[in-house]
Amino acid sequence: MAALTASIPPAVAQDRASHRDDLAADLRALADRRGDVDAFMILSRPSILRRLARMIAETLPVGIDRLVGSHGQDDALVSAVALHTGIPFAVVDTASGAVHGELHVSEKVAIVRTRRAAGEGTLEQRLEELGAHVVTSVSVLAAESTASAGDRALFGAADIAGPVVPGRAA
Amino acid sequence: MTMVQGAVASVRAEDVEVLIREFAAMTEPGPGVTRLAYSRLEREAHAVFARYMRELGLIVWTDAAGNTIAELAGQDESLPAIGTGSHLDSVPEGGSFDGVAGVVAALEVARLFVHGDVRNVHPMRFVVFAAEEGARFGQACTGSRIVAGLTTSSDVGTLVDNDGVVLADAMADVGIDPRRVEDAVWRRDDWAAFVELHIEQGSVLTEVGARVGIVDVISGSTRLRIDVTGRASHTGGTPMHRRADALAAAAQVILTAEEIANDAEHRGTRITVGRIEVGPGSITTIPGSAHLFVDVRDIDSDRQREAASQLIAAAYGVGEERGVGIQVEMLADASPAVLPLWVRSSIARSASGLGVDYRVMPSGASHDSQMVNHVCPAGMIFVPSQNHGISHAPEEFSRFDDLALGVDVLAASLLDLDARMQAESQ
Repeated sequence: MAALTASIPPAVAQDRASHRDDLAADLRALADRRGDVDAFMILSRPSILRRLARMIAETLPVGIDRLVGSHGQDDALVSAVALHTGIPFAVVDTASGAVHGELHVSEKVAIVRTRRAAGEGTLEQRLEELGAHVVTSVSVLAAESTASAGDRALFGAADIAGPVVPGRAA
Repeated sequence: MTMVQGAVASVRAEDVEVLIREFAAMTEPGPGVTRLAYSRLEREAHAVFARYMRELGLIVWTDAAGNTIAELAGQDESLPAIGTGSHLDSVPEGGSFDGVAGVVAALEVARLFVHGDVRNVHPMRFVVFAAEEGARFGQACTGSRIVAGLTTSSDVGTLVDNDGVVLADAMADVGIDPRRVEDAVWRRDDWAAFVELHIEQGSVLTEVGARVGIVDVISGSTRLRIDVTGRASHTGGTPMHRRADALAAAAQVILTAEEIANDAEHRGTRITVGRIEVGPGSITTIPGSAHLFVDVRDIDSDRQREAASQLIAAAYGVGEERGVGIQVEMLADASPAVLPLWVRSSIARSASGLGVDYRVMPSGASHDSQMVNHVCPAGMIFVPSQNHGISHAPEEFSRFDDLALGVDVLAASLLDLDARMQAESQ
């Protein structure tokens, strides 16, 4: 009795470029007419949060001990990246300096945030005071200006501004 | 009857009903409405729309995809247009409202604006898309996909209906040159925004008592064909442990699909096996082949593909377990689309201005707006579906006063967009 063999399954996952273009389109859809995006508007949608977490995870170097975000705006984002990667996280209240969660001296940390505010350096300063070593910093959206050399943004202003339409065929 | 903000007229439920019934009468014989994509009847329905629009003094043309477009001039013709519309084709034995509601809404808005002497700044375009239903050629939204550049002249030569008619030939049969469909592609700088009114095709609005739905996200869809190959043999002569029953394996795949979609991680995922072909189809022969046609829908882009991947893996597992062959082909894949917030806000503002309760909600079905959103920002207004939300069946029904109210919200939204975009440009 001859065995009936299975053929190779098709690839269902999107290619990287389509994935990024679709996500940029969804971010544009939630921007206002000037291209400004409210962090909570995008992070409160699991379909967007999941994709952002995956993209951020792909940028993180090996050896990260902990993810760190700013308490409040970035709670959801850093949680999602932690779920995706399995890396523990802490959030820092940049106003009071309080740390929520564990953060230890000499840990290698990655800062994860929605968007670095212009001129913001408080989180990095606080982490330095705590003796943590910031290995990388990843933002969803590029800051208007003053990004540090180590900063990396998933989407630039050109991705979000302009027509609120998908950039690629579905 | 409701006064539309900024307009001087209003929409009457009786007028909506007359138009709905007129289009419903244009059908093949049999239950419900049958007016298939790129059929003679679909073209006749487009001609009725064109005639009404010409009577209003609008400029009307049919594009290279068979879409019919009517334009009401704006005060500033250099500005891109604001559009509305839907489709007039149907599934076999469908209802009277799917798509038609949005076309009737477009007609009524045009009447409101013309008779009310509304001074819109942007040109207003009223659109009937061809071939929105995928029932005939397997691909939904063909007319709007063409204007968005998502379906090309080469694509229309590959899609075939159940009678073996190629889409390109069907188009040619009704006077549309399939080699020229690229001429129909819309330019992004020619369109400012688009709002489609559609029946909900579900029961959310009636359950919550809202008169209008505002769509924030439209589901995506991954469509698969799963071929199961077993061994056809005599039902009496083949003991159970010697069988490679393709249909039994297919049944296991179908139940697995249901399990995946009902999993706690998949709230919002919908998996449907809507069609199955079994061979050889004899009561005394163990099925040797089964072909499943699977639709995986979700408003979550990654989860949609992950659910499809899970199902494919499960199907191969079933094949291994039961000793049958499995082959999977991806027929189509479209991403969910978040509709632009500022268009949605305009619709919400307009509904509130009219005192209309609304519900923000996802759309499980694909719509022309999803394709138009590739060209310009698009929004959608749902009106309640009665009869437990039944659609694609003769029992499909929406109340005419609900439709009239939806048209009022649509008209107000178009004027709100017109005014706000004009104000921003100054």
